[in-house]
Amino acid sequence: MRINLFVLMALSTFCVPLSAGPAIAPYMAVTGGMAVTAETDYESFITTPASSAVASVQAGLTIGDGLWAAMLQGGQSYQAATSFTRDWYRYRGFYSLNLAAGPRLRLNHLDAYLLGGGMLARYDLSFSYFFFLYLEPGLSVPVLAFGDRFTVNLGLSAPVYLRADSYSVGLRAVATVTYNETQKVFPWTGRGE
Amino acid sequence: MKRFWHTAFISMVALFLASCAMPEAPTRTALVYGISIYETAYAEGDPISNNLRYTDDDAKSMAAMLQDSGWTVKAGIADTQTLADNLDATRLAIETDIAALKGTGGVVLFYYSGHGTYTNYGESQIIPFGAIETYEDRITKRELYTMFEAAGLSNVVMILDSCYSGGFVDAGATLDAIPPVFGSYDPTGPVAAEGDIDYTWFTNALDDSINGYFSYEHDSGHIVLSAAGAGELSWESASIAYGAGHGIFTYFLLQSETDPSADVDGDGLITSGEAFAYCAGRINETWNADNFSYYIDGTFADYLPHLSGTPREYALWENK
Repeated sequence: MRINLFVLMALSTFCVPLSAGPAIAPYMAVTGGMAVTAETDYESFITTPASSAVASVQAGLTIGDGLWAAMLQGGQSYQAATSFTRDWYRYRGFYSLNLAAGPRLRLNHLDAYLLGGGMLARYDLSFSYFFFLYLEPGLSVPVLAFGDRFTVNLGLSAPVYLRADSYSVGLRAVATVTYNETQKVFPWTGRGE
Repeated sequence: MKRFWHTAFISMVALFLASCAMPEAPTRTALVYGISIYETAYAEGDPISNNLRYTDDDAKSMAAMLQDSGWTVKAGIADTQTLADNLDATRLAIETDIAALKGTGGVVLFYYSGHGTYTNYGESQIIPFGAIETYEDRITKRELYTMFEAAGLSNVVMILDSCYSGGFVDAGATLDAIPPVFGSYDPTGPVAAEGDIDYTWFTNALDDSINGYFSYEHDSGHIVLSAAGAGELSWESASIAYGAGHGIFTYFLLQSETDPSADVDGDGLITSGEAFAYCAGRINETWNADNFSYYIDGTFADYLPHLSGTPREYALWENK
């Protein structure tokens, strides 16, 4: 099951952006938000979910400047321990390193993307390491252009962590600063196009 | 678009606020066992016997601390030379106590301090009273897990202060980077792997972690906190540095109730993860620093606790 999922993810991640153009735009992103975690190994399929704060710092490349582009992104994340459930357990927090890729679709000024990749994580206060696949669909819009080359996008993403023994689904605010090869101006930044 | 942002912001705030509230305490039952007398013909700690010296004190102190934190405690202590007074710490008593919890729900904490060993197949065991020579009365990991599962208990935390207790720890979907025999001085030991923490760099764990992800099938979900690795002895000491008569691991568990540094997130509660981190750190700083080159019974005296790789951690007791 997990292997099938991995193959599907790899195909969607790498095949769709093949039509991307050659332009390369590096970017940095910071994200922050919440995630809800639940396990799958107990008697019920999904146990009591619990929420926690998440944050990450990412660096990446957008390859292509047309309708379709490809994104390649890596970074580190922290998912805090969740709140306590009624049985006084919580899901442990963890640090992780991630690497992901995927297609980006530009619709007018709205960017929609789907990243797929893997994370290597370690639980807080332990020597327990684990790996999992994840998907991260997201949307962003440019809100600011500064200098001749830099743009700032704000958006939302909803990462889904496909952990071996649990799932985490999140909602994050994403702020991205991109360096563009060509000048970018937008009507709402007060400069003519 | 404005409504979209507004809704997203409100959702995040609502989630955050919901995560701040601590629910009311669930039913919490602790089964606490300490066996210092295995052979009633001899006194506690008599070197010509299999008797231990402080394991009963460990259990009594743990029972008091747990009671103090709101747990309902059922204790089985074997510490007298009168056989009949030790029968609440036998395998039968342990089985009966666990079975009696059927249908109670809530959280169950199982604490054991006493001898541990391993079978010819390398399976770790704890040795209740009456089982020092009766092998079938010893309890393996599989048997202990089965007892809890038969009682329908799914919120179980096991704390074992015994030799080779790391064999009760299930790494689950994770890799435990602490080897079964810790310490660079350990070339021998009953388990083949030995040495320092396995991964110097975070990314060194990648290959093994990916293999673990794709081969993972099931985890019991039980949280086990063991004093030692699957190939290690667990130690007790009369030194004032360890409470003048406790198992080293249990002493630091007890200390976690009052040492503010044990409560890493400052929420006033010690979780299984915080208890593990505190004990591992303190044992390594103190006992291991003094005894890493002390060789006895085929191994060196340094050791580290182990913790299950479950996604969960439980609030165990208050930090005061």
